[in-house]
Amino acid sequence: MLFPSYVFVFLFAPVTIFGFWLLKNDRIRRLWLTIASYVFYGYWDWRFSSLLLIATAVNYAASLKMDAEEVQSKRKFWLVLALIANLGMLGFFKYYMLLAASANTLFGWFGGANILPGWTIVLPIGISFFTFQSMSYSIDVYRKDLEPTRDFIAFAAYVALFPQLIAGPIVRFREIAETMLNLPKKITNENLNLGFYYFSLGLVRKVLVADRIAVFIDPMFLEYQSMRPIEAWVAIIGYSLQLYFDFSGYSLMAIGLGHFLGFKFPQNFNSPYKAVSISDFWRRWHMTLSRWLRDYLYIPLGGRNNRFIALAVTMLLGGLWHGAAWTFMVWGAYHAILLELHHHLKRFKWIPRNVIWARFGTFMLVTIGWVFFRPPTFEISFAIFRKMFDIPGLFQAVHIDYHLLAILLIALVWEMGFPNAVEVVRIKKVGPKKLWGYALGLLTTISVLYFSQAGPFLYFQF
Amino acid sequence: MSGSNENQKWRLPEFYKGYVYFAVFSLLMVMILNILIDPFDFYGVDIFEPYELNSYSTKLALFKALDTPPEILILGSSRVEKVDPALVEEITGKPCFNWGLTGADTASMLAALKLAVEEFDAPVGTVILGVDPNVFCPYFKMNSQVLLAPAYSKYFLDYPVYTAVSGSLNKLFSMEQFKSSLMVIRRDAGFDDSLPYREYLANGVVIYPYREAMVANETFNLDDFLDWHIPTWVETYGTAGFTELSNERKARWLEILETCSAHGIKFIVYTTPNHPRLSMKIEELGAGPANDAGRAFLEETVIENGGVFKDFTDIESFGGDPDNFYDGIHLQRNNIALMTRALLENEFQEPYRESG
Repeated sequence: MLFPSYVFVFLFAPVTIFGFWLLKNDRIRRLWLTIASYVFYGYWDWRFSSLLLIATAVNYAASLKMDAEEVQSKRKFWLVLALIANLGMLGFFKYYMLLAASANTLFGWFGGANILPGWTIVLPIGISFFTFQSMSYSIDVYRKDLEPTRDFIAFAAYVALFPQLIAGPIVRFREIAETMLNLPKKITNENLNLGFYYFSLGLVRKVLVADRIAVFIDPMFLEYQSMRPIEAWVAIIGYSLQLYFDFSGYSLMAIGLGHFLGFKFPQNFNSPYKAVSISDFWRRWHMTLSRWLRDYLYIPLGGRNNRFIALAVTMLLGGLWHGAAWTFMVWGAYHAILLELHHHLKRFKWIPRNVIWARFGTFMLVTIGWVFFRPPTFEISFAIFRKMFDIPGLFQAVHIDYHLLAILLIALVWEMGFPNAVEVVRIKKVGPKKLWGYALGLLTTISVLYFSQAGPFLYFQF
Repeated sequence: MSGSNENQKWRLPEFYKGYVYFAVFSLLMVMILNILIDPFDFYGVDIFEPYELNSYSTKLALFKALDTPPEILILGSSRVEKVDPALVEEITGKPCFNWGLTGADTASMLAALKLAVEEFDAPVGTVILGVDPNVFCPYFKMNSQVLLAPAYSKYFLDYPVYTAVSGSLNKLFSMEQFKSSLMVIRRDAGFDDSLPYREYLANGVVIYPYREAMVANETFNLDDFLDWHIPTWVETYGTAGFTELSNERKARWLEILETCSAHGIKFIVYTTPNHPRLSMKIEELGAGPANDAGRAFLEETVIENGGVFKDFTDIESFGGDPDNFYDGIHLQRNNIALMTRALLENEFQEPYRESG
């Protein structure tokens, strides 16, 4: 079920939210939330709901076992078991086809037969998100950073919580434990204000900006062979903005829906295209994933003390997390190289001091990186690179729809020239006025009119 | 999310009340406007002349109003709607009706066939079916017009109810319908005197007043229409990923052939022609193999069931003219006439089932 769909906005969300506040008993309310979240997930394909249930049961049981054990090796045993279950699910459903194709190709080069069967496996949407979320719970319990809950339904509601189930933010249990275990009795004006504010802004970003950009650039990428250099640049800058508005739009909608249920989810984007360096970019882009990778991968690998290896492994695996293709790993490697370079340049103080140039440079470096991220194969990525850097071709006449240029300009000005949605809430001089309500109400209506043309969220596939 | 408690102004109710009132009010206004104006002839509200006719309900009404029930029925999508029953009658001597339907898939064609021969008991002896292999694409969207034409809906019982509901909602709150409602107001207020896009004659054949006037006064530029159509092709053949044939749509196709056989109806099937530029595009977008598979499936099943099959995908097969198109898939009058003659001239020399 998509957020920008009639069935979600007119049926699922109102019924779920009204039901949640009408019920009085907290256990029943958590059960209601769990059932609603399973319906939300099962609407796509009910069979994959079993994966959610397995992730919930395994992590719940392993965490209680860890908590009950004093012997470190036994605690480790239960943690390893939970990690195998989570990573096993993720590995099989997301990476098996890549592994089989790569292994069979490799053996084929040496004249060998296929060593792995070439199964076609459907990728369950959001599996990367809910497995990472479940793993964070088990690891936190193992580290004794978190007291595991005994309430199975509360934990099941956390794993399946529909606002952030399939595309994040990746929420840690401790961030919502207090609310989940002591559900608020009454929805406040603040919840309603922030809920409508974040949800409608996210809707506008997704439906009126990201999807409008996609209408123009998707055909351009399909016809990459006939693109001219300027068109290639417009297409990749367009994708840069489409991806950001799409994903940040989804995150804002998730945060808004969280407020409707009384939860406060963490911020996932902090104006990443305002970043003045590549490391600054990673502090602002998909913040909950960066934080996860930092705490559960980079630091355990040695962090700053083993910087080169820890950074390389983290970025390569972070790249691969986004999709089962070597192109994603190369994208991760590209960012690892940029981060390493930035580290050395900073030591020698070779970093641009002018904020505008620093932002522009960072944006362009990130945008170039998306050339590995967007196309499905290296062949297409390299073809697009050749187009982008075909210097004589830069002077060829091009035909670019002015509607696309107008949308890109609006998106750039919105992103670069104004505070982001979260910053606006923090500005004390500014307050939510009735006029804002009218304006966002109107934009929501326009977004609803575009629902029939809304595409799926780009991050669903990850 | 941090920050929510830092600004006390977010605790006042003005914002969300303004938001809810305005959003609900504007959505209601859009809904009322779209129902009252009914620009696509979905809801049967006859206050305004529709912006675009619903071919499903229009064709049904025209069929019911026929003085002489047809012995030849033309079925297919908008690609066949231009096949003129008058010409078919001239060639065959049999009364004919064109029940081509905009965006028809195999299920819609089956519904039209069953309505004609089972519900209205028309003495149909021959069915002419114009089909594009793309009709077997699993992602080919069902035209929501059909879901809003109740007579057809009983043949779609195995479609989930929510498809019908969401199809109706999609249209009711769609930008496409809203814009068209505004266009109707503009037209009826006298600010737009352009000719309608589509009209139907009593025998079901479509005419395109707007485009045909452009052709007549030599302002029609085919290249403009082909360029305009390219994004649709890219979406249909490329983005949607037409790589395999839908089993459900194949099953509906076989049911069409079985229904014909059960009623002793002869069937003549042809693949609808493409403009050469579209054919090239289909290959470029990687949909060539699936199209070929669809064509092979059509040929095999038609011949197996004793029907006639002709492949007219390439316009050279009937001596067509690449300039005599309205866009990539819709033929102009001369091409239609050439194709109709090539399709039928050798098919009516032997007697077939007597009408009645």
